[in-house]
Amino acid sequence: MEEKIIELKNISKSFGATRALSDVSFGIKKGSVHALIGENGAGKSTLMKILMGIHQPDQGEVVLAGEAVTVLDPVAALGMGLAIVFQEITMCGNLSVRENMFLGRELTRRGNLDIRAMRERTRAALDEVGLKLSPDQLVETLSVAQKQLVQIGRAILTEPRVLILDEPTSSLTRDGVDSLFRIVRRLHERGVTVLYISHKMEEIFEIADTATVLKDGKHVNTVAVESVGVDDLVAMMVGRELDRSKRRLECRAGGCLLEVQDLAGDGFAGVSLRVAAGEIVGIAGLVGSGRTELIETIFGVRPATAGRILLKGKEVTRSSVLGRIRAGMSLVPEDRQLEGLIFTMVLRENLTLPDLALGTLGRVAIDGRAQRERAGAALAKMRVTASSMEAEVDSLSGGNQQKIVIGKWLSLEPSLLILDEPTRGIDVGAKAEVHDFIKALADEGRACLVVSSELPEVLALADRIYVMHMGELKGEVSGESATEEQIMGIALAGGGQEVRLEA
Amino acid sequence: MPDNPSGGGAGKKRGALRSILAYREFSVFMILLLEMAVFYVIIEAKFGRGLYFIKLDNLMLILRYSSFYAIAAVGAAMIIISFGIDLSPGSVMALTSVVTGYFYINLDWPLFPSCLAGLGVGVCCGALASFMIVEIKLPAGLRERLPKRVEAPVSNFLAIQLPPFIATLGIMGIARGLAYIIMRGKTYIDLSEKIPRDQVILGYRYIDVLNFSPLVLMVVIALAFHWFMVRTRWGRQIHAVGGNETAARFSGVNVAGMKTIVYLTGAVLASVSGLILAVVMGQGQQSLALGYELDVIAAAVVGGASLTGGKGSVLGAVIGALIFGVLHNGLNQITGAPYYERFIVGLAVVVIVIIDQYTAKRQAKMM
Repeated sequence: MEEKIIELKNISKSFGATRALSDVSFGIKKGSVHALIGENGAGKSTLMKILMGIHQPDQGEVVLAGEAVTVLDPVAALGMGLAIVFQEITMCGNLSVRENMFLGRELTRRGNLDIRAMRERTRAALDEVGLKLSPDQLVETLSVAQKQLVQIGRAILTEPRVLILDEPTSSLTRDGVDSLFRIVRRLHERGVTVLYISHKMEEIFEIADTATVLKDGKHVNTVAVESVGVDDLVAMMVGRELDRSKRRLECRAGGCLLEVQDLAGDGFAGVSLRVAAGEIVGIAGLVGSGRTELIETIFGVRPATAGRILLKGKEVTRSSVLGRIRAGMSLVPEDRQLEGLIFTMVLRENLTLPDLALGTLGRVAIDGRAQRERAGAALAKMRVTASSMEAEVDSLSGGNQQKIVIGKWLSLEPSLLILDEPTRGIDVGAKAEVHDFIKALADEGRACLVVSSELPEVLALADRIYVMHMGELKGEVSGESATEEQIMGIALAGGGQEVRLEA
Repeated sequence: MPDNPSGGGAGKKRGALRSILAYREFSVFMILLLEMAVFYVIIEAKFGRGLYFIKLDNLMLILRYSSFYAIAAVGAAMIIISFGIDLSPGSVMALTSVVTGYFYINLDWPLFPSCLAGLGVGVCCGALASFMIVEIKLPAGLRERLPKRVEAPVSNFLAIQLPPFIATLGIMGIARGLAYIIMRGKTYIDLSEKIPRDQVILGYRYIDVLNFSPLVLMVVIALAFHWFMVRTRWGRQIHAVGGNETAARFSGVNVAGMKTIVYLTGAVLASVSGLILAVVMGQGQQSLALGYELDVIAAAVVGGASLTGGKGSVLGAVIGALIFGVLHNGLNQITGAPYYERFIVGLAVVVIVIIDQYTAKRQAKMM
């Protein structure tokens, strides 16, 4: 079966200044199970969205079954026999399984809804995906795994030529994964082409026959799965010029500032780590490996179900967020708009909110002058470009907003600053400033815990890097000597050869 | 993208004026003055009694009438700023008046303790609201000491958070229901006959003190709570919770504590209003203040409170209540006009919120 059902030729796509895809060309054989792999931000989702008509490519063309096509919108894509199952659940919880399956494509008979026919087809689809549910059950009562299988059933109902699955197992249980593989094999037998986006190596080796690797928006290689090993794929995904800035050579052996013992919480378990004063420790891992949950539990926003957290020798496992702040912890959260900034308050108030919570700007009444001083100092130190401290938050660029989220902790002089994806979505200049800032903090004797999906960033900043995989801390590597392949190896497959585990 | 600093040397004066205008309190006050001017003109033109409208006696009447709304509107403003809502003020007022009357007349308690009992209604209703709305966690020490079989269901129960709309809707029914139950069909309790009208206290007649107290209370409460919301830590943290609860939590704000403060305060202030009704008006009645909650919320919204949270003004809410008080008083002095009151109130709220959103959009565009 050498016939190519889809051929992508020189596809390029940019979003503003970001180049999502550059000159991507490869072919997908008809009837194959074709995996698409790459790191976060490699361009996989963008490429699929182009195929489904959600985006239009800036350059290049899509050839479907030998004909060049323009997929104008998702409805057109469906008409061409393309169906996609997204990673996120996009169904209406208040409607039943049947209603969701036929949403927008209801069957009618003489002007009325043909509920009986829809119910029958739904039952058949549920059988196919291995769900023992009633078609009338409300979707909101289903588990996430079940919802995902319903979404897959919905896509299969359209009898597509090409089924695209975007990280389908991210919310599935073990049984769900088995069901999924059964579905994929059955579709394969029927001659349906399956596009499987994933970064789970085990799955790709179990189910796919071909794999395409994308990196930084470019096509790296398309190979037959049986001809490569995990390391080869990892190397293709990751190998790039490391832009290492000058490494800090001094060994900062300060006291142990943060100690986490066997911590468990929502989405992770058995995590033990240490951060010493003056150290920058990175936490690497794929999205969904539990990193954000871990640091939110360390900070106190999420409850711990087991384990202990000690800051400067003092146990803070039971403390409130405010208690931990008082003990010297600070957190720059992952999503600055949702978790870091208050848009109804001006910069001055955003910058001094922790002070207000602690009471360091006055026990009852706020010392206005002190507040303005602190806000001004933070703006200056972070080099924020804003008209004044009375400006509204939404007048700032993303990079400046991020500086505000970081800056509000400055006056507290925290011993431990935890940062979750601190340079996500900000321009190169601001990014460099944030990096300098983190290094300066470490030089002062404070400690930084940095979660980042950007390996170059982690490698450039960190003295030590912990790597998480599926909710567990699977490895610890030295920031000096580690390579991206090493880290990705642990992050993807949970354990690699060249890992030095420190007790 | 560097932002250009606004204004320059010459623009400073206009900048100062614009910043005063930016204060919601100022613009609402202007609306109040404008409203009074309009009524003066109409009443003078149609009935030649314009001066009466402006006279002190009438103004005192307006102030006294408005004070019931105004005091409760302070609480409503605080709750709305925290991104909550309270549907119970009217019921709390009614129950307070009934309870106060019951203790004072039926149980023949002295006045002051009866008033305390009445305020107790506010405290209880506020506590109940907080209990339902706020996420309660068992203290860690206690959590460990309890056996798992007991701890789990108790923790799960305490952690339940009802939407404020539902919780206060429930209290609205429960409080007024209790008032009806206590009254058992009697129309009202008359407190006025027991109040020593002519007794002299601090050189003034009791009755004069009582008539003057609503105004004094309104002014004191307005200023005190405005200061609280604008200049104290907790007031600003309440604004933060309303603006973005998650971000506030991530900054160390005790979100549960702030919510408890606003719901307790809201209920106690409504109770104060009920107390005024009972003692000054002399009536404890279960059907008092029916539908008040919407007027109170309307006053807060006119005063600048945004239902999306994080924005609002206590002083503005009080002025908003005065605007509606002037409206009520003015319309009653024009024959055939009182029917228009609800219509104008509804219209005013919608128009003002539209203007709010429009100016907010224009401001955002200019950035």
